[in-house]
Amino acid sequence: MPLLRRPFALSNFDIKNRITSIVYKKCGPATEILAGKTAGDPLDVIGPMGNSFVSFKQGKKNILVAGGTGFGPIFFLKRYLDKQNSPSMMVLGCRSKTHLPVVASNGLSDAILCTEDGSAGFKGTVVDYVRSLPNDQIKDAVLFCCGPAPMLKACHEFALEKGVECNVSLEQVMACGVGACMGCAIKIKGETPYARVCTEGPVFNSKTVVWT
Amino acid sequence: MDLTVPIGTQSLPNPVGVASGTFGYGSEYEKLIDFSVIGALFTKAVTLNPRPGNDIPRMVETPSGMLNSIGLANVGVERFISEKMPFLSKLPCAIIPNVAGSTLDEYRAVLNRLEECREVWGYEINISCPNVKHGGIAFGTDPIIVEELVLSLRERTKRPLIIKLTPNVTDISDIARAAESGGANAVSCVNTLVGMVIDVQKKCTVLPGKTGGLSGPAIRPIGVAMVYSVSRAVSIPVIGIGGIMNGSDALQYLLAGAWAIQVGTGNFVDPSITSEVLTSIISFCDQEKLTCIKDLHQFIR
Repeated sequence: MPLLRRPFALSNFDIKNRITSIVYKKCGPATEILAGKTAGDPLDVIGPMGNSFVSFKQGKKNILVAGGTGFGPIFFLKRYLDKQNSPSMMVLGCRSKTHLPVVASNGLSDAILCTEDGSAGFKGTVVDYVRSLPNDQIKDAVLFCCGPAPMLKACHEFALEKGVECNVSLEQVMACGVGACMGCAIKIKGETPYARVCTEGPVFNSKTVVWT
Repeated sequence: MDLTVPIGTQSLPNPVGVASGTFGYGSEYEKLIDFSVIGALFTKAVTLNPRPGNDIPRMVETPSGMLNSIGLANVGVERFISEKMPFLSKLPCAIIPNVAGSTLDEYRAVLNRLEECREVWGYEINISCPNVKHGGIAFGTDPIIVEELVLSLRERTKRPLIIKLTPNVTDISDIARAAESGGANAVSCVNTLVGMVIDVQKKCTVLPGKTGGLSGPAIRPIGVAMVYSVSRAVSIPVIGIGGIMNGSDALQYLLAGAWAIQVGTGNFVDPSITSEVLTSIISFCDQEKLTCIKDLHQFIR
């Protein structure tokens, strides 16, 4: 039986209809329990905590990159930008078609799908896809990324190479989730060598992160 | 009933505290809890200089518990006073900074500086952190050093001095007696137990410092047993800590001989747990017609 709460990113927050959602992967006892819940079951939730994707700039093209369950917050950001009439491109990657997250039927219609085995959409990783874009699409872009650490690191390196801004949403094991326990630290550059993912994050400019 | 807990010349308003390291500097929980139900807030450890803390990852969940190696990450005493005390000062609960150091001088310097803060109720002296190389647990495992440290701090303050003991010793009662001889007003019992988790696939320890401190319900029976022993070895009050998740857990400690308790890991699971713990203690005592905390000590001999 799990002891601690689990941190998740929101993939939707509809205050009018009182609906919120998350995208998660069954990967242990806690998410197994979550997967066993049915409509109407109560969940005890604290949130939202931490920061969010913020640095949208006029005239910039927002490139949204997601891997696996990182699709959740990226999907949320895409819908937000659409409402703001802010142009954006959403690139979603996973290992193969069978690993695609289960989302609302209209969820993927405007996504550029990438699968490593080529079973759906572009064959290759999300970073391979972004690299394949012509330079004029990249030079004024801002990247917003969420997914596994190697993917985020590759996005960071790509952004650095092209001289564009890259924001990454990070994951770390957490205990308190409110900034008290210092358990979810990640290494950053600057005066203080660590930042809390739950409070200063989860979104960081990729340049401030110490990538390993 | 009389909920107060006499410690030194003062008393805590009720026996339910929140443990150091699990409640930050209080403000982190501002929007989530009612501070009026907390008897004492034991702050994140305060050291003389700021400490960035240990390498990552710093924690891993274990069966009925968690293993952490934070490494006393804190803002240092100066920023504690300028940035954290203004919020803490406004709270209705007793504010008890957890004082840590790597040398006797460092403990003294932190305490001297905190003596200037009027709103500090007393001190919890951390001689038991398992996650720092020098100091911490090195102080807490030798009764001679413990007595010397407590004597030296005793000279510097009239406020309650609570010594937080480590369970990672052969006989915790020896250390408790040393603290009492030095002039301590209470002991907190216990800090985390040293533990290790290995990632079998990667063939390495999950924590880069290899070991960490185990907390949570997994250690509760150990904590209760140690409180039972220590409360019979010393005449100063014992504050029970270790895996308290509800009122019944807290009552185990109080029945074992503790005068007060601290909720630690339980705050992570439910930030408002202290409220339920206090309510349960009160209703149990009312039901059993007990009029003060001491009355709970008569049952288990």
